[in-house]
Amino acid sequence: MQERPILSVKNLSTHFKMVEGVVKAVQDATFDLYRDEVLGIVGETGSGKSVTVKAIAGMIDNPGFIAGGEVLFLTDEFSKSGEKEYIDLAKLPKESFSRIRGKHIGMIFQDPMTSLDPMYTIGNQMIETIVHHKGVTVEEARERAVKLLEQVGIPKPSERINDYPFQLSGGQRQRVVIAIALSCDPDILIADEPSTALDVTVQAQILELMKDLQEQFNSSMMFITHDMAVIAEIATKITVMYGSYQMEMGQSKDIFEHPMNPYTYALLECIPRLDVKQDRLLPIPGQPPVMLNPPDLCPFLPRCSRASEKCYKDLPQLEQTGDSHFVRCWNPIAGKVKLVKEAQG
Amino acid sequence: MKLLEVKNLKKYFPIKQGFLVERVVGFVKAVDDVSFSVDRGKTIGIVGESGCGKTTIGKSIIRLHEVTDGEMLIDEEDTTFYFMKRKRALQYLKSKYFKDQDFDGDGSGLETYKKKIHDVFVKSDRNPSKTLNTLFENLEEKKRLLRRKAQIVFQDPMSSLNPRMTVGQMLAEPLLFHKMAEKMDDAIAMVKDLLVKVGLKAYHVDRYPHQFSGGQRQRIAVARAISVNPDLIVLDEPTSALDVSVQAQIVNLFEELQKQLNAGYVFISHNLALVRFICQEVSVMYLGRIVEQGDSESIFAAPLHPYTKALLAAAPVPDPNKKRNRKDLIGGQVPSPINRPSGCFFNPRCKYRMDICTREYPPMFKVDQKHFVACHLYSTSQEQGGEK
Ligand SMILES: Nc1ncnc2c1ncn2[C@@H]1O[C@H](COP(=O)(O)OP(=O)(O)OP(=O)(O)O)[C@@H](O)[C@H]1O
Ligand SMILES: Nc1ncnc2c1ncn2[C@@H]1O[C@H](COP(=O)(O)OP(=O)(O)OP(=O)(O)O)[C@@H](O)[C@H]1O
Ligand code: SF4
Ligand code: SF4
Ligand SMILES: [Mg+2]
Ligand SMILES: [Mg+2]
Repeated sequence: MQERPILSVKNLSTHFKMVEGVVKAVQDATFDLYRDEVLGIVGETGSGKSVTVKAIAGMIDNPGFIAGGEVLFLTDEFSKSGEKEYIDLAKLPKESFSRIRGKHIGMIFQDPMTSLDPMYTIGNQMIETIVHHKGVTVEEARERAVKLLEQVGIPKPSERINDYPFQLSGGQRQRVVIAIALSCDPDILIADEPSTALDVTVQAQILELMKDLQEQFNSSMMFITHDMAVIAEIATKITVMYGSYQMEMGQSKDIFEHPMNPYTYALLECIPRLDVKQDRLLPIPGQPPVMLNPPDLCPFLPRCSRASEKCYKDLPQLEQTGDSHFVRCWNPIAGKVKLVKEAQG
Repeated sequence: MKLLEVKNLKKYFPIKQGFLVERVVGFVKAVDDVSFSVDRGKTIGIVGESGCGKTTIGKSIIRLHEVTDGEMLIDEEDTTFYFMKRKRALQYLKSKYFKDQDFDGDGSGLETYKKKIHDVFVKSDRNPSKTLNTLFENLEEKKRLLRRKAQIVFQDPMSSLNPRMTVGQMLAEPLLFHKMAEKMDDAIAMVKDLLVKVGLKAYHVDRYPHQFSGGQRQRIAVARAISVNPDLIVLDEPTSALDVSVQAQIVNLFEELQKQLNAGYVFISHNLALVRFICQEVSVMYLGRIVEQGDSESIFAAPLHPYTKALLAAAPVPDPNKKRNRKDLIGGQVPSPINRPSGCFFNPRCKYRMDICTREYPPMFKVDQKHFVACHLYSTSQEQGGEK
């Protein structure tokens, strides 16, 4: 129907071998990412969001390891013919990742200081990245850096380029990190809670910026957040994670209007909303799962109101139920649901 | 009767510099002339971005630090001077109640004012010969009472729970201190009831904080706060360290407990949706000052201050069909509280800025009975109405 996906993740599992046992951080992650898509990964703390993207970007270190699955990435980086071909990042040696990360896959993390070196000016850091990946002269790289800073909304970029990270505000630092991530025209931009550490008004600025840039650069994006409202703003496609598993995946509209997994549904019902008047929040009983040596069952089972006998026996698989709607559940919710009554005020 | 009245509260932190000899080179005006009140059974919200002074207000209310200026009344009783050094307390009392008269600062020569002191402070059922000195004698008891009446729950439950004490030991302590239980056995029995009340199990009494999840720990912090039957509870971002799926449980718990205790809540948060859900009244803060105050529904339905509008526009909405109102979004970020802009503090980011905005800080205008805003755009409204 359409072009080939730029990234195709198949049954990806990532585990950590700890003294107390094995932490199965991500199990059976499966999704495709096409050009122009913004895939939102949403889920609670510890559900496996960061580990999923770290595994894709070759950033899992001991005691962690990829326990199975494929990460097929469409690129001409290693191709002899010059034609784009799929390479499996899950099997790519660590040292080859410098040809992928920062070049074809740009990364933005929650805390901009983890990506910036406090000892170097932002200009130095940007120019180095551009020269390294693009093979251009320092002068050309500087020009490009100034232009990027301007694009991410740093005022007076030709002066600010000589600033050290500590001379910038939190929001400005995150803009610089975004500029660096974009500096090599990556095919995929991965943003792991890029606005969570920022103030509300600055968070909105960064989100708007990322939306604009994504359209402008027309790269694909993976956007991680624990906030359903943020994901509604930015994602075209959403995957909901809980206890290391993808519980549901679909077009953004479908996830919000037609959630099929009981967890997705409960999540939407328990968040306070600014746009509608609510009489009460419907809490999800119980506590989030512990990730150490979990049983091979649906992770939401201890808290699920739709659980049936089957749920205690076998783990449900991620099944396709519609055009691009997937759900992991033995008893999915059928039919359209209207979550909240429309605003009275 | 108002449960809590805060009038013109100020809290300045000195900025010190110097290597061997430290000197004060300036102040962080963390809270600067803030007034609000709380009724029993009601929840007021304080919202604003990081550093605007929310936690400082919370700590001031429960007297975790001395305030720079302002008054705090609980059940109409002036409690402002309770935790002051005696000399400062006398100065405070003098300047507040004896403006036109003089007496010396250390309390001698007060005889002439006995009558007035009595009128102001001593309840009618007490012996009228009691003087200001008596007021200070009772002070320890009064402080203890205040410590019981006003409680706080912080954002991070782990930092406020002692990792080396069991839940039982930790929660029994205030019960014994406030003489709500005579013996340890009684206290532990009460703790077990409390744990059940906040949705935990009685057998959790012997466990340590690290043996609980984040949400459970916050329940323990809540249990401790409510254990002494407080009238007032400050909730400082009590759910922001929790998962959304657990947040709703804790929020519902607060609401149930409020009905039982008839307590007044001060709910501090930067999550506007949560504030809208929980609070009847809201104060919006910017750089240490309240810029808009009023009843929750009118603030969320019809925000007036350009900063409030920006905050609301910035908050994402969990509905992919609704796009945010980009028109009210603002650029820039909150300036440093040490170097506040002249005039209206918001003027460098405000698109409605007028000439007067860079010259004069706007007074609080009363737009209607329950809605106040500090912005020159509303200067045709009545000035300084109501409680400010
Ligand atoms: N380096 C590590 N060593 C051991 N366990 C780890 C490591 N990194 C992550 N984990 C575990 O893997 C699980 C998934 O973690 P991950 O960081 O992906 O969560 P997340 O969904 O990103 O959560 P958050 O919203 O808190 O960022 C967790 O149980 C976590 O404790
Ligand atoms: N003990 C202190 N000494 C010096 N400055 C302080 C102290 N406590 C707070 N401040 C300053 O006072 C201002 C208000 O801080 P406060 O903690 O009240 O903000 P807040 O609104 O609670 O922010 P947040 O949303 O980040 O919790 C900040 O500029 C802060 O740096
Ligand atoms: S599989 Fe069973 S326990 Fe899991 S979400 Fe579906 S109904 Fe609930
Ligand atoms: S007083 Fe002036 S600068 Fe301040 S918010 Fe109102 S219009 Fe804007
Ligand atoms: Mg993470
Ligand atoms: Mg705070």
